[in-house]
Amino acid sequence: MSKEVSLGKTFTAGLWDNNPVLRLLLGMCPTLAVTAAVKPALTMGISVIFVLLFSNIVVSSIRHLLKPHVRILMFTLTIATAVTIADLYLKAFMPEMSASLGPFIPLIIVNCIIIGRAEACASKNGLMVSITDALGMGVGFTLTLCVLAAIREVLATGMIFEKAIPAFTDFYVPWAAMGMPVGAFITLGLMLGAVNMISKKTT
Amino acid sequence: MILASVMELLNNAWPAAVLALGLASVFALILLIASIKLKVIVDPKIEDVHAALPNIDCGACGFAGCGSYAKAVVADPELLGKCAPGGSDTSNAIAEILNLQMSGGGAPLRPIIHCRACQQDKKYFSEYSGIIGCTSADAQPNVQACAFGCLGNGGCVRRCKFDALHIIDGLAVVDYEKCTGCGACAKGCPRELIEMVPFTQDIMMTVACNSKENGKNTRSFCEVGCIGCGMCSRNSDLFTTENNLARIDFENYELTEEAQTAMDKCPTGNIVFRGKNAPAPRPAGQKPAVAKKA
Repeated sequence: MSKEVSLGKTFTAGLWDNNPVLRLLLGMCPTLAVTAAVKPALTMGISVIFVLLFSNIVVSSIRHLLKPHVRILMFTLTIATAVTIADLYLKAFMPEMSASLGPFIPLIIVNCIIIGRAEACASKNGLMVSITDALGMGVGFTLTLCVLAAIREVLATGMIFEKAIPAFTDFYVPWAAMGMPVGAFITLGLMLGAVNMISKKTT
Repeated sequence: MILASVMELLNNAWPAAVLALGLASVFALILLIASIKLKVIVDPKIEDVHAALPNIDCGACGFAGCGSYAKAVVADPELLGKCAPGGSDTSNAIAEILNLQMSGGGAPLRPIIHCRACQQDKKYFSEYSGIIGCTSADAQPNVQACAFGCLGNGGCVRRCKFDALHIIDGLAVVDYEKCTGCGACAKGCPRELIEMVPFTQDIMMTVACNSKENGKNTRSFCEVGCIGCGMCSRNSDLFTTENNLARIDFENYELTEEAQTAMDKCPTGNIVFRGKNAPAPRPAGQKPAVAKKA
Protein backbone atom coordinates (compact mmCIF):
# COMPACT_ATOMS: atom_id res chain seq x y z
CA MET A 1 0.00 0.00 0.00
CA SER A 2 1.24 3.45 -0.84
CA LYS A 3 1.54 6.25 1.67
CA GLU A 4 -1.50 8.05 0.32
CA VAL A 5 -4.35 5.69 0.92
CA SER A 6 -7.93 6.79 0.70
CA LEU A 7 -9.90 5.78 3.73
CA GLY A 8 -13.02 5.08 1.69
CA LYS A 9 -11.17 2.70 -0.58
CA THR A 10 -9.60 0.94 2.38
CA PHE A 11 -13.03 0.39 3.85
CA THR A 12 -14.68 -0.88 0.67
CA ALA A 13 -11.70 -3.16 -0.05
CA GLY A 14 -12.69 -5.17 3.01
CA LEU A 15 -16.26 -5.40 1.84
CA TRP A 16 -15.65 -6.68 -1.65
CA ASP A 17 -12.21 -6.59 -3.35
CA ASN A 18 -10.40 -8.12 -0.39
CA ASN A 19 -13.36 -9.68 1.37
CA PRO A 20 -11.74 -11.96 3.96
CA VAL A 21 -14.04 -14.91 3.38
CA LEU A 22 -14.96 -14.70 -0.28
CA ARG A 23 -11.75 -13.35 -1.80
CA LEU A 24 -8.91 -14.09 0.63
CA LEU A 25 -10.45 -17.32 1.95
CA LEU A 26 -9.21 -16.58 5.45
CA GLY A 27 -10.96 -17.50 8.68
CA MET A 28 -12.68 -20.55 7.24
CA CYS A 29 -13.06 -22.23 10.62
CA PRO A 30 -15.71 -19.87 12.08
CA THR A 31 -17.19 -19.39 8.62
CA LEU A 32 -18.05 -23.03 8.39
CA ALA A 33 -18.70 -23.73 12.05
CA VAL A 34 -20.98 -21.00 13.39
CA THR A 35 -23.14 -20.20 10.38
CA ALA A 36 -25.98 -22.61 11.02
CA ALA A 37 -28.09 -19.66 12.20
CA VAL A 38 -27.83 -15.89 11.86
CA LYS A 39 -27.61 -15.10 15.56
CA PRO A 40 -24.35 -16.92 16.35
CA ALA A 41 -22.91 -15.73 13.04
CA LEU A 42 -23.66 -12.13 13.96
CA THR A 43 -22.18 -12.60 17.44
CA MET A 44 -19.06 -14.12 15.95
CA GLY A 45 -18.80 -11.30 13.40
CA ILE A 46 -19.10 -8.59 16.04
CA SER A 47 -16.51 -10.32 18.24
CA VAL A 48 -14.15 -10.45 15.26
CA ILE A 49 -14.74 -6.74 14.53
CA PHE A 50 -13.86 -5.94 18.15
CA VAL A 51 -10.73 -8.07 18.17
CA LEU A 52 -9.62 -6.78 14.78
CA LEU A 53 -10.13 -3.17 15.87
CA PHE A 54 -8.26 -3.70 19.14
CA SER A 55 -5.32 -5.48 17.54
CA ASN A 56 -5.06 -3.06 14.62
CA ILE A 57 -5.09 -0.03 16.94
CA VAL A 58 -2.44 -1.47 19.25
CA VAL A 59 -0.22 -2.81 16.50
CA SER A 60 -0.47 0.38 14.49
CA SER A 61 0.46 2.56 17.45
CA ILE A 62 3.51 0.48 18.37
CA ARG A 63 4.59 -0.24 14.79
CA HIS A 64 7.75 1.90 15.03
CA LEU A 65 8.92 0.07 18.12
CA LEU A 66 8.37 -3.40 16.68
CA LYS A 67 11.40 -5.53 15.95
CA PRO A 68 10.73 -7.54 12.77
CA HIS A 69 11.80 -10.89 14.26
CA VAL A 70 9.56 -10.71 17.33
CA ARG A 71 6.58 -9.00 15.74
CA ILE A 72 4.43 -12.14 15.51
CA LEU A 73 4.87 -12.59 19.25
CA MET A 74 3.57 -9.09 19.83
CA PHE A 75 0.62 -9.62 17.48
CA THR A 76 -0.40 -12.83 19.17
CA LEU A 77 -0.11 -11.25 22.61
CA THR A 78 -2.37 -8.39 21.53
CA ILE A 79 -4.92 -10.65 19.83
CA ALA A 80 -5.03 -13.05 22.76
CA THR A 81 -5.78 -10.19 25.14
CA ALA A 82 -8.63 -8.90 22.97
CA VAL A 83 -10.09 -12.37 22.51
CA THR A 84 -9.98 -13.04 26.24
CA ILE A 85 -11.90 -9.81 26.87
CA ALA A 86 -14.48 -10.73 24.20
CA ASP A 87 -14.83 -14.23 25.64
CA LEU A 88 -15.28 -12.92 29.19
CA TYR A 89 -17.85 -10.41 27.96
CA LEU A 90 -19.89 -13.04 26.15
CA LYS A 91 -19.74 -15.36 29.15
CA ALA A 92 -20.95 -12.59 31.43
CA PHE A 93 -23.70 -11.07 29.32
CA MET A 94 -24.72 -13.72 26.78
CA PRO A 95 -24.11 -17.04 28.57
CA GLU A 96 -26.34 -19.07 26.23
CA MET A 97 -24.68 -17.69 23.12
CA SER A 98 -21.28 -18.28 24.70
CA ALA A 99 -22.19 -21.91 25.40
CA SER A 100 -23.44 -22.48 21.86
CA LEU A 101 -20.41 -20.88 20.25
CA GLY A 102 -18.24 -23.03 22.49
CA PRO A 103 -14.55 -22.97 21.63
CA PHE A 104 -14.96 -20.84 18.52
CA ILE A 105 -14.67 -17.52 20.36
CA PRO A 106 -11.30 -18.47 21.94
CA LEU A 107 -10.31 -19.78 18.50
CA ILE A 108 -10.45 -16.22 17.11
CA ILE A 109 -6.89 -16.03 18.48
CA VAL A 110 -5.74 -18.17 15.59
CA ASN A 111 -8.03 -16.59 13.03
CA CYS A 112 -5.88 -15.73 10.03
CA ILE A 113 -7.73 -12.53 9.18
CA ILE A 114 -6.66 -10.81 12.36
CA ILE A 115 -3.00 -11.71 12.31
CA GLY A 116 -3.06 -11.19 8.54
CA ARG A 117 -4.37 -7.63 8.90
CA ALA A 118 -1.89 -6.87 11.68
CA GLU A 119 0.92 -8.04 9.41
CA ALA A 120 -0.29 -6.62 6.10
CA CYS A 121 -1.88 -3.37 7.17
CA ALA A 122 -1.53 -2.25 10.78
CA SER A 123 2.23 -2.76 11.07
CA LYS A 124 2.79 -0.61 7.98
CA ASN A 125 0.11 2.09 8.19
CA GLY A 126 -1.04 4.87 10.46
CA LEU A 127 -3.74 4.74 13.03
CA MET A 128 -6.63 6.04 10.91
CA VAL A 129 -5.92 3.73 8.01
CA SER A 130 -5.60 0.77 10.38
CA ILE A 131 -8.91 1.53 12.07
CA THR A 132 -10.68 1.92 8.73
CA ASP A 133 -9.10 -1.28 7.50
CA ALA A 134 -10.19 -3.14 10.63
CA LEU A 135 -13.75 -1.89 10.29
CA GLY A 136 -13.87 -2.70 6.57
CA MET A 137 -12.47 -6.17 7.01
CA GLY A 138 -14.61 -6.84 10.07
CA VAL A 139 -17.82 -5.64 8.49
CA GLY A 140 -17.02 -7.60 5.32
CA PHE A 141 -16.45 -10.73 7.38
CA THR A 142 -19.62 -10.18 9.41
CA LEU A 143 -21.79 -9.51 6.35
CA THR A 144 -20.51 -12.57 4.54
CA LEU A 145 -21.09 -14.73 7.59
CA CYS A 146 -24.60 -13.36 8.00
CA VAL A 147 -25.51 -13.92 4.34
CA LEU A 148 -24.17 -17.47 4.52
CA ALA A 149 -25.98 -18.07 7.80
CA ALA A 150 -29.22 -16.56 6.53
CA ILE A 151 -29.23 -18.83 3.48
CA ARG A 152 -28.54 -21.86 5.63
CA GLU A 153 -31.00 -21.00 8.39
CA VAL A 154 -33.85 -20.33 5.97
CA LEU A 155 -33.22 -23.51 4.01
CA ALA A 156 -32.62 -25.69 7.07
CA THR A 157 -35.49 -24.52 9.25
CA GLY A 158 -37.69 -22.13 7.27
CA MET A 159 -36.98 -19.53 9.95
CA ILE A 160 -34.85 -16.43 10.23
CA PHE A 161 -33.50 -15.09 13.53
CA GLU A 162 -35.30 -18.10 15.06
CA LYS A 163 -38.65 -16.67 13.94
CA ALA A 164 -40.88 -18.37 11.40
CA ILE A 165 -41.26 -16.63 8.07
CA PRO A 166 -45.02 -16.32 7.47
CA ALA A 167 -44.92 -17.16 3.77
CA PHE A 168 -42.77 -20.22 4.42
CA THR A 169 -44.73 -22.00 7.09
CA ASP A 170 -47.42 -23.65 4.97
CA PHE A 171 -45.52 -25.59 2.39
CA TYR A 172 -41.86 -25.55 3.38
CA VAL A 173 -40.22 -28.85 4.25
CA PRO A 174 -37.07 -28.19 6.28
CA TRP A 175 -33.89 -29.21 4.51
CA ALA A 176 -31.99 -30.52 7.52
CA ALA A 177 -28.71 -31.07 5.66
CA MET A 178 -28.27 -27.31 5.29
CA GLY A 179 -28.06 -26.96 9.05
CA MET A 180 -25.23 -29.48 9.19
CA PRO A 181 -21.58 -29.02 8.16
CA VAL A 182 -22.45 -30.32 4.68
CA GLY A 183 -24.71 -27.33 4.17
CA ALA A 184 -21.92 -24.96 5.14
CA PHE A 185 -19.57 -26.39 2.54
CA ILE A 186 -22.19 -26.43 -0.21
CA THR A 187 -23.40 -22.88 0.47
CA LEU A 188 -19.88 -21.49 0.79
CA GLY A 189 -18.84 -23.21 -2.45
CA LEU A 190 -21.79 -21.79 -4.36
CA MET A 191 -21.19 -18.32 -2.92
CA LEU A 192 -17.51 -18.45 -3.93
CA GLY A 193 -18.52 -19.54 -7.41
CA ALA A 194 -21.02 -16.71 -7.71
CA VAL A 195 -18.47 -14.14 -6.52
CA ASN A 196 -15.88 -15.43 -8.99
CA MET A 197 -18.43 -15.22 -11.79
CA ILE A 198 -19.37 -11.64 -10.93
CA SER A 199 -15.77 -10.49 -10.63
CA LYS A 200 -14.85 -12.13 -13.94
CA LYS A 201 -17.57 -10.18 -15.69
CA THR A 202 -16.55 -6.84 -14.22
CA THR A 203 -12.84 -7.08 -15.05
CA MET B 1 34.36 -14.00 20.84
CA ILE B 2 31.36 -15.70 22.35
CA LEU B 3 31.10 -13.03 25.01
CA ALA B 4 31.14 -10.32 22.36
CA SER B 5 28.36 -11.90 20.37
CA VAL B 6 26.32 -12.45 23.52
CA MET B 7 26.79 -8.78 24.43
CA GLU B 8 25.74 -7.76 20.95
CA LEU B 9 22.67 -9.94 21.17
CA LEU B 10 21.75 -8.43 24.50
CA ASN B 11 22.26 -4.91 23.19
CA ASN B 12 19.94 -5.58 20.28
CA ALA B 13 17.41 -7.52 22.25
CA TRP B 14 16.71 -5.19 25.11
CA PRO B 15 14.38 -2.76 23.27
CA ALA B 16 12.27 -5.69 22.11
CA ALA B 17 12.30 -7.18 25.57
CA VAL B 18 11.27 -3.88 27.14
CA LEU B 19 8.48 -3.51 24.60
CA ALA B 20 7.27 -7.06 25.19
CA LEU B 21 7.32 -6.63 28.95
CA GLY B 22 5.64 -3.25 28.79
CA LEU B 23 2.91 -4.43 26.46
CA ALA B 24 2.42 -7.59 28.49
CA SER B 25 2.03 -5.66 31.74
CA VAL B 26 -0.44 -3.22 30.17
CA PHE B 27 -2.45 -6.15 28.83
CA ALA B 28 -2.27 -7.93 32.16
CA LEU B 29 -3.73 -4.85 33.79
CA ILE B 30 -6.53 -4.66 31.20
CA LEU B 31 -7.31 -8.34 31.65
CA LEU B 32 -7.30 -7.98 35.41
CA ILE B 33 -9.89 -5.21 35.21
CA ALA B 34 -11.91 -7.20 32.65
CA SER B 35 -11.89 -10.33 34.80
CA ILE B 36 -13.16 -8.36 37.80
CA LYS B 37 -15.80 -6.40 35.87
CA LEU B 38 -17.00 -9.40 33.85
CA LYS B 39 -16.79 -11.99 36.57
CA VAL B 40 -19.34 -14.76 36.29
CA ILE B 41 -20.34 -16.16 39.64
CA VAL B 42 -20.67 -19.90 39.34
CA ASP B 43 -23.22 -21.49 41.63
CA PRO B 44 -20.98 -22.87 44.41
CA LYS B 45 -23.28 -25.87 44.64
CA ILE B 46 -22.10 -27.04 41.23
CA GLU B 47 -18.52 -27.18 42.43
CA ASP B 48 -19.54 -28.93 45.65
CA VAL B 49 -21.52 -31.53 43.73
CA HIS B 50 -18.64 -31.99 41.33
CA ALA B 51 -16.34 -32.61 44.26
CA ALA B 52 -18.75 -35.19 45.68
CA LEU B 53 -18.79 -37.16 42.42
CA PRO B 54 -16.22 -39.88 41.81
CA ASN B 55 -14.61 -37.72 39.08
CA ILE B 56 -13.87 -40.60 36.73
CA ASP B 57 -15.90 -39.23 33.79
CA CYS B 58 -17.20 -42.68 32.90
CA GLY B 59 -20.39 -41.43 31.27
CA ALA B 60 -22.69 -43.94 32.96
CA CYS B 61 -25.09 -41.12 33.93
CA GLY B 62 -25.63 -40.20 30.28
CA PHE B 63 -23.71 -36.93 30.47
CA ALA B 64 -20.33 -36.17 28.98
CA GLY B 65 -18.55 -36.27 32.31
CA CYS B 66 -18.80 -35.54 36.00
CA GLY B 67 -18.70 -31.78 35.37
CA SER B 68 -21.72 -31.73 33.10
CA TYR B 69 -23.62 -34.14 35.34
CA ALA B 70 -22.96 -31.84 38.31
CA LYS B 71 -24.38 -28.89 36.37
CA ALA B 72 -27.40 -30.89 35.26
CA VAL B 73 -28.20 -32.30 38.67
CA VAL B 74 -28.05 -28.87 40.33
CA ALA B 75 -30.46 -27.54 37.70
CA ASP B 76 -32.77 -30.54 37.87
CA PRO B 77 -32.71 -32.59 41.10
CA GLU B 78 -34.80 -35.27 39.37
CA LEU B 79 -31.54 -36.51 37.88
CA LEU B 80 -30.25 -37.54 41.29
CA GLY B 81 -29.13 -41.13 41.52
CA LYS B 82 -27.78 -41.48 38.00
CA CYS B 83 -24.20 -41.92 39.16
CA ALA B 84 -23.63 -45.65 38.95
CA PRO B 85 -20.03 -45.77 40.22
CA GLY B 86 -20.87 -43.60 43.23
CA GLY B 87 -24.04 -45.45 44.11
CA SER B 88 -26.13 -44.44 47.07
CA ASP B 89 -23.25 -42.80 48.98
CA THR B 90 -22.75 -40.21 46.25
CA SER B 91 -26.47 -39.67 45.86
CA ASN B 92 -26.77 -39.05 49.60
CA ALA B 93 -23.89 -36.57 49.48
CA ILE B 94 -25.45 -34.69 46.56
CA ALA B 95 -28.86 -34.69 48.24
CA GLU B 96 -27.24 -33.12 51.30
CA ILE B 97 -25.57 -30.38 49.24
CA LEU B 98 -28.83 -29.61 47.45
CA ASN B 99 -30.86 -29.78 50.66
CA LEU B 100 -33.10 -32.48 49.31
CA GLN B 101 -34.82 -35.32 50.99
CA MET B 102 -32.85 -38.29 49.75
CA SER B 103 -34.44 -39.91 46.76
CA GLY B 104 -33.24 -42.25 44.07
CA GLY B 105 -30.00 -44.17 43.91
CA GLY B 106 -30.20 -47.73 45.11
CA ALA B 107 -27.46 -50.24 45.54
CA PRO B 108 -24.44 -49.76 43.27
CA LEU B 109 -24.69 -51.55 39.95
CA ARG B 110 -22.05 -54.08 39.10
CA PRO B 111 -21.72 -56.23 36.02
CA ILE B 112 -22.16 -59.97 36.12
CA ILE B 113 -21.16 -62.14 33.21
CA HIS B 114 -23.65 -64.82 32.34
CA CYS B 115 -21.05 -67.37 31.34
CA ARG B 116 -18.46 -69.41 33.19
CA ALA B 117 -17.10 -71.59 30.41
CA CYS B 118 -13.32 -71.48 30.21
CA GLN B 119 -11.36 -72.59 27.17
CA GLN B 120 -11.41 -76.29 28.09
CA ASP B 121 -15.11 -76.30 28.97
CA LYS B 122 -16.47 -75.28 25.60
CA LYS B 123 -16.39 -76.92 22.22
CA TYR B 124 -14.85 -75.19 19.22
CA PHE B 125 -15.39 -76.19 15.61
CA SER B 126 -12.31 -74.34 14.43
CA GLU B 127 -9.87 -71.71 15.50
CA TYR B 128 -10.89 -68.10 15.07
CA SER B 129 -8.24 -66.03 13.36
CA GLY B 130 -10.14 -63.02 12.12
CA ILE B 131 -10.20 -59.43 13.30
CA ILE B 132 -9.68 -59.23 17.05
CA GLY B 133 -12.96 -58.28 18.60
CA CYS B 134 -16.13 -59.91 19.80
CA THR B 135 -18.43 -58.39 17.19
CA SER B 136 -16.52 -59.90 14.29
CA ALA B 137 -15.99 -63.17 16.15
CA ASP B 138 -19.73 -63.29 16.81
CA ALA B 139 -20.38 -63.00 13.09
CA GLN B 140 -18.50 -66.26 12.45
CA PRO B 141 -20.97 -69.05 13.20
CA ASN B 142 -18.62 -71.99 12.78
CA VAL B 143 -15.99 -71.22 15.38
CA GLN B 144 -17.49 -71.60 18.80
CA ALA B 145 -20.22 -74.18 19.20
CA CYS B 146 -22.10 -72.20 21.84
CA ALA B 147 -23.96 -69.35 20.21
CA PHE B 148 -24.67 -67.69 23.57
CA GLY B 149 -21.50 -67.84 25.64
CA CYS B 150 -18.48 -65.61 26.08
CA LEU B 151 -16.31 -65.36 22.99
CA GLY B 152 -13.24 -64.42 24.95
CA ASN B 153 -12.14 -61.81 22.45
CA GLY B 154 -12.20 -59.01 24.96
CA GLY B 155 -14.68 -56.49 23.58
CA CYS B 156 -15.64 -55.70 27.16
CA VAL B 157 -12.01 -55.55 28.28
CA ARG B 158 -11.22 -52.85 25.74
CA ARG B 159 -14.26 -50.88 26.87
CA CYS B 160 -13.24 -50.93 30.50
CA LYS B 161 -11.45 -47.76 31.58
CA PHE B 162 -10.56 -49.10 34.99
CA ASP B 163 -8.66 -52.29 34.20
CA ALA B 164 -11.41 -54.21 35.96
CA LEU B 165 -12.01 -56.83 33.27
CA HIS B 166 -9.65 -59.49 32.03
CA ILE B 167 -9.86 -62.45 29.73
CA ILE B 168 -8.71 -65.36 31.85
CA ASP B 169 -8.53 -68.70 30.11
CA GLY B 170 -10.92 -67.66 27.33
CA LEU B 171 -13.47 -66.10 29.63
CA ALA B 172 -14.11 -62.51 30.65
CA VAL B 173 -13.75 -62.11 34.40
CA VAL B 174 -14.70 -59.02 36.38
CA ASP B 175 -12.32 -57.70 38.99
CA TYR B 176 -14.86 -56.39 41.48
CA GLU B 177 -12.16 -54.60 43.48
CA LYS B 178 -11.54 -52.23 40.60
CA CYS B 179 -14.99 -52.15 39.02
CA THR B 180 -16.87 -48.85 39.30
CA GLY B 181 -20.10 -50.06 37.73
CA CYS B 182 -20.10 -47.60 34.85
CA GLY B 183 -21.67 -50.19 32.55
CA ALA B 184 -19.37 -49.58 29.59
CA CYS B 185 -18.58 -53.29 29.31
CA ALA B 186 -22.24 -54.27 29.00
CA LYS B 187 -22.45 -52.15 25.86
CA GLY B 188 -19.39 -53.84 24.41
CA CYS B 189 -20.75 -57.38 24.43
CA PRO B 190 -22.43 -58.40 21.16
CA ARG B 191 -24.05 -61.35 22.94
CA GLU B 192 -25.44 -59.24 25.77
CA LEU B 193 -23.87 -61.52 28.34
CA ILE B 194 -23.13 -58.76 30.79
CA GLU B 195 -25.96 -57.63 33.00
CA MET B 196 -25.74 -54.66 35.34
CA VAL B 197 -27.10 -55.91 38.63
CA PRO B 198 -27.79 -53.94 41.82
CA PHE B 199 -25.36 -55.44 44.31
CA THR B 200 -27.38 -55.28 47.49
CA GLN B 201 -24.72 -57.45 49.08
CA ASP B 202 -21.01 -57.72 48.48
CA ILE B 203 -21.37 -61.19 47.02
CA MET B 204 -24.30 -62.02 44.80
CA MET B 205 -25.56 -65.37 43.62
CA THR B 206 -25.90 -65.53 39.85
CA VAL B 207 -26.61 -68.01 37.09
CA ALA B 208 -23.50 -68.06 34.96
CA CYS B 209 -24.96 -69.19 31.66
CA ASN B 210 -26.85 -67.62 28.81
CA SER B 211 -27.61 -70.67 26.65
CA LYS B 212 -31.21 -70.97 25.55
CA GLU B 213 -30.58 -74.34 23.86
CA ASN B 214 -32.19 -77.37 25.40
CA GLY B 215 -30.29 -79.42 27.91
CA LYS B 216 -29.03 -82.03 25.48
CA ASN B 217 -27.63 -79.49 23.06
CA THR B 218 -26.10 -77.37 25.80
CA ARG B 219 -24.41 -80.48 27.25
CA SER B 220 -23.06 -81.31 23.80
CA PHE B 221 -21.00 -78.15 23.54
CA CYS B 222 -20.39 -76.99 27.08
CA GLU B 223 -19.33 -78.74 30.23
CA VAL B 224 -20.71 -76.12 32.56
CA GLY B 225 -23.77 -74.70 30.81
CA CYS B 226 -27.25 -74.43 32.28
CA ILE B 227 -29.37 -77.30 31.03
CA GLY B 228 -32.65 -75.80 32.14
CA CYS B 229 -33.56 -78.71 34.38
CA GLY B 230 -35.49 -76.46 36.75
CA MET B 231 -33.95 -77.91 39.87
CA CYS B 232 -33.25 -74.47 41.28
CA SER B 233 -36.67 -72.99 40.61
CA ARG B 234 -38.27 -76.01 42.29
CA ASN B 235 -36.14 -75.41 45.36
CA SER B 236 -36.32 -71.65 45.69
CA ASP B 237 -38.61 -68.84 44.59
CA LEU B 238 -35.57 -66.75 43.76
CA PHE B 239 -35.10 -68.69 40.56
CA THR B 240 -37.20 -68.94 37.41
CA THR B 241 -36.50 -71.30 34.54
CA GLU B 242 -37.59 -70.13 31.13
CA ASN B 243 -36.38 -71.04 27.64
CA ASN B 244 -34.14 -73.77 29.10
CA LEU B 245 -32.34 -71.20 31.21
CA ALA B 246 -32.44 -70.41 34.91
CA ARG B 247 -32.48 -66.77 36.03
CA ILE B 248 -32.38 -65.01 39.36
CA ASP B 249 -34.87 -62.33 40.30
CA PHE B 250 -32.46 -59.57 41.29
CA GLU B 251 -35.26 -57.18 42.18
CA ASN B 252 -36.18 -59.31 45.18
CA TYR B 253 -32.77 -60.73 45.85
CA GLU B 254 -32.31 -62.33 49.22
CA LEU B 255 -29.90 -65.09 50.05
CA THR B 256 -32.23 -67.62 51.64
CA GLU B 257 -31.47 -71.14 52.76
CA GLU B 258 -33.54 -72.44 49.86
CA ALA B 259 -31.39 -70.53 47.42
CA GLN B 260 -28.32 -72.07 49.00
CA THR B 261 -29.90 -75.52 48.61
CA ALA B 262 -30.68 -74.78 44.98
CA MET B 263 -27.09 -73.78 44.45
CA ASP B 264 -25.80 -76.98 46.04
CA LYS B 265 -28.16 -79.12 44.03
CA CYS B 266 -27.49 -77.58 40.61
CA PRO B 267 -26.26 -80.50 38.50
CA THR B 268 -23.86 -78.39 36.44
CA GLY B 269 -22.69 -76.12 39.21
CA ASN B 270 -23.91 -73.15 37.23
CA ILE B 271 -25.15 -71.12 40.16
CA VAL B 272 -22.14 -69.24 41.40
CA PHE B 273 -21.22 -66.33 43.63
CA ARG B 274 -19.89 -63.15 42.05
CA GLY B 275 -18.45 -60.16 43.84
CA LYS B 276 -15.46 -59.13 45.90
CA ASN B 277 -13.67 -62.20 47.25
CA ALA B 278 -16.43 -64.50 46.06
CA PRO B 279 -15.86 -68.19 46.82
CA ALA B 280 -14.61 -70.16 43.83
CA PRO B 281 -17.32 -72.00 41.90
CA ARG B 282 -17.53 -75.74 41.86
CA PRO B 283 -15.10 -77.06 39.23
CA ALA B 284 -16.53 -78.28 35.96
CA GLY B 285 -17.65 -81.88 35.87
CA GLN B 286 -17.78 -82.29 39.63
CA LYS B 287 -21.03 -83.82 40.78
CA PRO B 288 -23.02 -81.87 43.34
CA ALA B 289 -22.54 -82.94 46.89
CA VAL B 290 -25.17 -85.52 47.66
CA ALA B 291 -28.12 -83.63 49.02
CA LYS B 292 -29.01 -84.75 52.46
CA LYS B 293 -32.53 -85.91 52.81
CA ALA B 294 -34.28 -83.71 55.27
